[in-house]
Amino acid sequence: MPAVDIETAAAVAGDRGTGAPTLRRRPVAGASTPPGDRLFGWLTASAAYFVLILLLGIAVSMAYGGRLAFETFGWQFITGRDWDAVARKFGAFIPIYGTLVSSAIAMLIAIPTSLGIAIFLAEVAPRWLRGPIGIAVELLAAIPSIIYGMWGLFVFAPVMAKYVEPWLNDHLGPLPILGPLFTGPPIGIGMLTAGIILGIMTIPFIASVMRDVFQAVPPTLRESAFALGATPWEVVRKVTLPYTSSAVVGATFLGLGRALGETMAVTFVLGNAHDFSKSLLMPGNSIAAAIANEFTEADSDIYLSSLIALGFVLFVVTFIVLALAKLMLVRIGRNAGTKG
Amino acid sequence: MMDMSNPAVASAAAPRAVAAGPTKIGIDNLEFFYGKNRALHGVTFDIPSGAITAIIGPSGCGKSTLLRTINRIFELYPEQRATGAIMLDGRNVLDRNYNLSDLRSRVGMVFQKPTPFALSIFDNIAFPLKHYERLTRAEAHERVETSLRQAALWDEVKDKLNVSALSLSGGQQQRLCIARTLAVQPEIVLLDEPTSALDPISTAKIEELLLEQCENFTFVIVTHNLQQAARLAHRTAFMLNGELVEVGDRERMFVNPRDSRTRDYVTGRFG
Amino acid sequence: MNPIVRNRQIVNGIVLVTATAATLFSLFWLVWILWTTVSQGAAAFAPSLFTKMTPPPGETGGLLNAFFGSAVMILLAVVIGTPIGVMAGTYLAEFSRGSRVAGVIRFINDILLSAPSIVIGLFVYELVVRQVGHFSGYAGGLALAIILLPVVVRTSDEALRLVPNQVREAALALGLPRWKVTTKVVYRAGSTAIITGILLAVARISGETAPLLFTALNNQYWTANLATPMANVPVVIFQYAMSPYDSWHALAWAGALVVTAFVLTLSIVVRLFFRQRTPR
Repeated sequence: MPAVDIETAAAVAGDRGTGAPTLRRRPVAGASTPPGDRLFGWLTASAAYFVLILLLGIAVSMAYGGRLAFETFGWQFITGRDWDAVARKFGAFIPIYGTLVSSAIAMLIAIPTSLGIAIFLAEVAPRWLRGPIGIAVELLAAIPSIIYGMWGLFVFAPVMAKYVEPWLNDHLGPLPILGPLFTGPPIGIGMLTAGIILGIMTIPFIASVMRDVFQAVPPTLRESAFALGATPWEVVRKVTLPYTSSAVVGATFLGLGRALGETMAVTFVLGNAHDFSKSLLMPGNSIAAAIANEFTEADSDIYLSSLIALGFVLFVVTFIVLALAKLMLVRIGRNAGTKG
Repeated sequence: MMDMSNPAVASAAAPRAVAAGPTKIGIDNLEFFYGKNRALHGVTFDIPSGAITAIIGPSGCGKSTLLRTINRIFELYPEQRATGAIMLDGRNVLDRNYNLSDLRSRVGMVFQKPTPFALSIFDNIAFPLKHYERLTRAEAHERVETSLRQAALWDEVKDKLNVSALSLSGGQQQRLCIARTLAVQPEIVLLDEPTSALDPISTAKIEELLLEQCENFTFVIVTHNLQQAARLAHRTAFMLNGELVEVGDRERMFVNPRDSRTRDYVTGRFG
Repeated sequence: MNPIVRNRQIVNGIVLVTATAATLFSLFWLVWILWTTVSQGAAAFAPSLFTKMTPPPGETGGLLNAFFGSAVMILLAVVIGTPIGVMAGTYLAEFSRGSRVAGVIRFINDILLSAPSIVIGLFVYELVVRQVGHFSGYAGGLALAIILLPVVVRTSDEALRLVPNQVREAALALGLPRWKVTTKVVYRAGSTAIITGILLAVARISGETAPLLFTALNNQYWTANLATPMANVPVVIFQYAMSPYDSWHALAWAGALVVTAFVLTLSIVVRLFFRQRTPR
């Protein structure tokens, strides 16, 4: 039997001869593979594996840089509320809490808005308007985050302080359970402001993925629902959303991953406080903001290590969230591939 | 296909009946697999040199697959495999020690859809040429001109050789691809339904150039157009369901087929 | 009209109006933020922005050294990141057909694409700054390269996969070796999309601040020496905006306007001319 060689050595990644009616394995790199091809295949493969090594390297170097903090404080590093550079005692509960809360606020704003945009683009907007609206929404993603931060600090926070927060104080403050979240001095800087800005920033990421997955719904499915007399909303609810549900969740996780790691936009408006406060109107902190604010001031090894350890925590959390997002988005890809 | 009931009449203007030359390619017990699916079942036949051999058959019969094994282009796809032998001047090209570059310089191929590269007309031809030969600018120009003339394209493009090949019409693009293939001076040219995407006038030009050049090259053409096969081929092979049913000259295949399946096909009863 | 049908119509109407409102809501922020940037930036805009160095508090100045530093580091990032990115994309699209490793690499690359940029800054700090002992333009460029890389990997992978196989077959059938087919023919066919990806990646790194904070740091003075801390627009904007000085605020807004105009123009032009979407 004449063996079949393949074009490059690089292409031999795992034996794909499953169930082939011959037992002989595919030969690795045929004798006729030209040296140029072998070199080129090797070069491109190394570049591709470099991506893997890079991510691994980031994880390892964060863990290594933060080892002093993890060794010193143990689980206290995650649960401790003291962040005291003078006493050299570091517990990251406040920034972790701040990251989670500001991202939660962001999601509360971004998810419904993005869904609305996706529905608008799919069912409401005339064809000629879809392109421009799509670009406009994506521009929101293209604006550098530092611009969001400046705008937040100089324009949005004062508006919050002057109009929104007093209103919240008056109307939501007295409520029994939610009340404590909305009491406090209306200074504009704080978790709520940061969360809102994060939400605005996250909208385009979620909305554009949702728009794309909505477009992946086979037209015949939608058309047959319309043919039965369904309204556009019913088509979205009964056809589009069930078909795309996992990808829609994936899109929100993608947005969440972005929100968790966002630095500059929140650093300006969080206030870099290390005191715990239930109120969303009080200054707070986040992992990314703490690192950005304090890194160049870190004057001791344990301080520096604690900040890098914070980076490690952020990396692990965003990795998990983004990995889940990707897994859910991959599933829709497969669905679309088989059902489409 | 219904108008094919008497193709012998349609082929009245066909070329002189060249006596097929000595065997150029000997295909022996060729099997082909797409993953687990076998697409060719023990195909065995000879392709003569200096003549046009047509492979006909209904869609999915394996005629393109057969063509794609001869220059081993299928190896771009790791899940595809071929076994058996394709002897070219006494050596099995399926042997993995057979130098691919050497093989493909001897066996050129033209595809169904025109595949000009995103280069100028001149570079489309000169770039592959330079892979094999060290040419001066003048020599390269001469070779480009020769091959463009062979492909009956020279007069249409001689004033715009530096224009992108993508600006040509479909028929011109296909003739450029033929010129590009001929420029390397292969011994054999495989043509995979080269005119099926083209208009009748372009088709006629390409058929004409194949007939003109058939003494200089060994052409193997896959076509679903029986009239085309009858017009061009000195020798025709009929395939069905991955098997070679019958091989013969025009007289035998289109007038007196021995196999009833061939008769059914050429008289338009199926396909 | 049948009451059931009418109710369905009403619900439908409410939802669609809400969806429209959500779209207007997001556009409202876009307009507000852009308007702020343009009005504040224009008020502070002066030709001296491009001729003078960053000033100490209270003095007039410009952002010349910061623009230069940003340009140099972006260039460095492109020089480092583009070849690796295109090569990796080439492997994924051309040489890894059906292999599982390619799936893993795409997956990891997509995560890297969305990874927090501040973590990348920390990584380069650990890798370069701490080893060398000082902040540097090199470190800044490297950090930006790591952010640029996954964008280029993704777009070149997609661009090359869009090149029809017939083109590869035609080139291979001429007997050309695979590397020549890829570099001379397939790259040519996919060049527009690959360049689109690189330009979008440049747009993305142009405004990145977090990864530069602890790599390039900042420098009040002109320097073309990449081995020293280097001024760059985003970090200057950050420091000036956080400062208590009005003149610094004004410069920050002017810088913000220039960066935003650059990034948005690049994004829009690329989208209009090359019709491709941002990877994320």
